[in-house]
Amino acid sequence: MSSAVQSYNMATVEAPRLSCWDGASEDSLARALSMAVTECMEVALIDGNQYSRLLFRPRANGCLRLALTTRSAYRHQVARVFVGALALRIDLSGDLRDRVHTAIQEAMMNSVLHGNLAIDSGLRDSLDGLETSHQTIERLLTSPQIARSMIRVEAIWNASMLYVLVRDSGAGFDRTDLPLPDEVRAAGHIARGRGLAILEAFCDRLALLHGGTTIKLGFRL
Amino acid sequence: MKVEFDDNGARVKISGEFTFTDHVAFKAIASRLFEGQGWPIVIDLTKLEFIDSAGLGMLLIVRDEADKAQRSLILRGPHGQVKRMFAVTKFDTLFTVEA
Repeated sequence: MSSAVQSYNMATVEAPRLSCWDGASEDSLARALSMAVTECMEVALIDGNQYSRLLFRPRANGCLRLALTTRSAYRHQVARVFVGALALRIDLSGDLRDRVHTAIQEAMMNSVLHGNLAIDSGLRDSLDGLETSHQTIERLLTSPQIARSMIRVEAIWNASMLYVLVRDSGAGFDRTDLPLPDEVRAAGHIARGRGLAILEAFCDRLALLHGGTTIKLGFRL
Repeated sequence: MKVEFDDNGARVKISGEFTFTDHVAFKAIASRLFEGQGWPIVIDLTKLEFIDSAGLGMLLIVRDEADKAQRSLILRGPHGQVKRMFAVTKFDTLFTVEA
């Protein structure tokens, strides 16, 4: 086989089945992630020509992929809908559904706020800071470039493991540069510094990839 | 997130999901909780199904505001995922938590 040509055993490989999400509501997202679908993209990304950055390939394992805008990731409870779609495809019984939901929520929040919007968590350390944070986010989302910047959520599974990768379009970060939760609180920032500890507690495996722009969550099935 | 206040305004029941998108709504909730004086502040979580780290952070902000106002704060009835998040982040050592 030529090294330039990827070959697949078509008996075991699914062709991708695509859908589009209008970005309007969680109900319309649930419909866009119905059982027949393996890949879903928000329409605003197609309008913004960002689809050319996506390389959807057939895979031998199960998969569900969603590409959406920062605006929609901020406005809608995407993690809950995505986990609901996963539960239609694989058994998430026991505490697994709560763990997957919590971890995807934390990873998406990190990707939206710190990745694509580059918001300082310290803004949300007080009641007045909550309002300031909201105004800052709304102002950033008036920029089409920022509002349409992409978030990707990709679930891949086999009989024993589920992996979920959450990718943002930001500058990334180095895990070793993050202050410890005690250091954050000692500096007077009461309302942050728990996301990574929650991910470590709720995932069976956790990795930061591509300079911190991708969070890989692993769960034993 | 859905919100329901009792008559004196010092007790609020929040239900559904409490996440980072609720920060503006929660500021309004907290402001109303601190309008009254003297009553212990109770946040009833018995109908809350899901919380993320941003929701936990907002509860910490209320705790600090309660300390400043010399009001006691009680979190009531966390269960399921919310209770587990409290355990992971040691929230039960930072708050008065009632079953």
